[in-house]
Amino acid sequence: MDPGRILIRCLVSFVFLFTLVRISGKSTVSQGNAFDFVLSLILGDLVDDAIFAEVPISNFLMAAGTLVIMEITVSLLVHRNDRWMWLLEGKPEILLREGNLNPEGMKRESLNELDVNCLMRLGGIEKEKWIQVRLATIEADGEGAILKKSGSKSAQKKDRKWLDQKNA
Amino acid sequence: MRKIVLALLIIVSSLLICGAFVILFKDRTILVPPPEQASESFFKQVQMKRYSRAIPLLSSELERKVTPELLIQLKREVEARVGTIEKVQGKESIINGNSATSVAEVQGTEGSINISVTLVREQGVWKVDSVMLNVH
Repeated sequence: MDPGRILIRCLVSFVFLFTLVRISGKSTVSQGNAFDFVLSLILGDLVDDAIFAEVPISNFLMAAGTLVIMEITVSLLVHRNDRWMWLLEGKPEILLREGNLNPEGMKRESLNELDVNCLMRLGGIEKEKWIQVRLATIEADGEGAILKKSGSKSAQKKDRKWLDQKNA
Repeated sequence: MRKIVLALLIIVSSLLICGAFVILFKDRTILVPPPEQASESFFKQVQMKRYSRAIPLLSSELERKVTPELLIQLKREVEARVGTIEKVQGKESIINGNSATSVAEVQGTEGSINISVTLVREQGVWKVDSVMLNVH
């Protein structure tokens, strides 16, 4: 296929998507939820079809534009009303409460103990120190959030000394 | 709400710009799939047995006549010459106003065949109007 035509289609697709993504807000790229992830996959496929002229560019503009408008609408609904947020984006799920696993929350998110362990390690908390955790949740965007009990803090050098003395 | 209006404006203005480009510069190959791409898409759909998707790629006149059974027959005829179809590629095309001729090369396990395709432009999009099998 003629590279010149591909170049023009790339430019049109880029300018169109760039403009739409800019006005749709930063959440599309930085704080995406499951819907944003699916949307970006679909948009990628649409761009592919447009660049390699499998569909007329007008079809791409209509399809991509409609999807982005839907995304903006969902964001606006979520922004205006918390109920919409729970319905459209999901709610944070509690995985760990007062150092104990929450099996219901894990089941709802299809996570097992290894997954929670991984999430906690990413938050810098080993399994032995789960007792320091007041609440660990998985947020609507898939990120983990860990709230420690008040007064608990990361181990210091003096704690090591204290532990050595205790074990001696 | 302002964002939605802005997005709608961008979509409408983009469509208008593209439409103007197609009309003013008589674009037949850049913002619409060129004839070779249209013929390639048609044969790819036939290759993948997606007959219901192949039929809309035909001109309105042919679309009325062609049934999935006819496309199955076309696929069998092609495969009788080249074996199982492995690759379809649209090649050079000659555009003459609102009609065009193109060649689709079909490669199979036992050889390849060039298929001459004539296309017509309907509502700005190239559609397959006739197919002729040539031995390569």
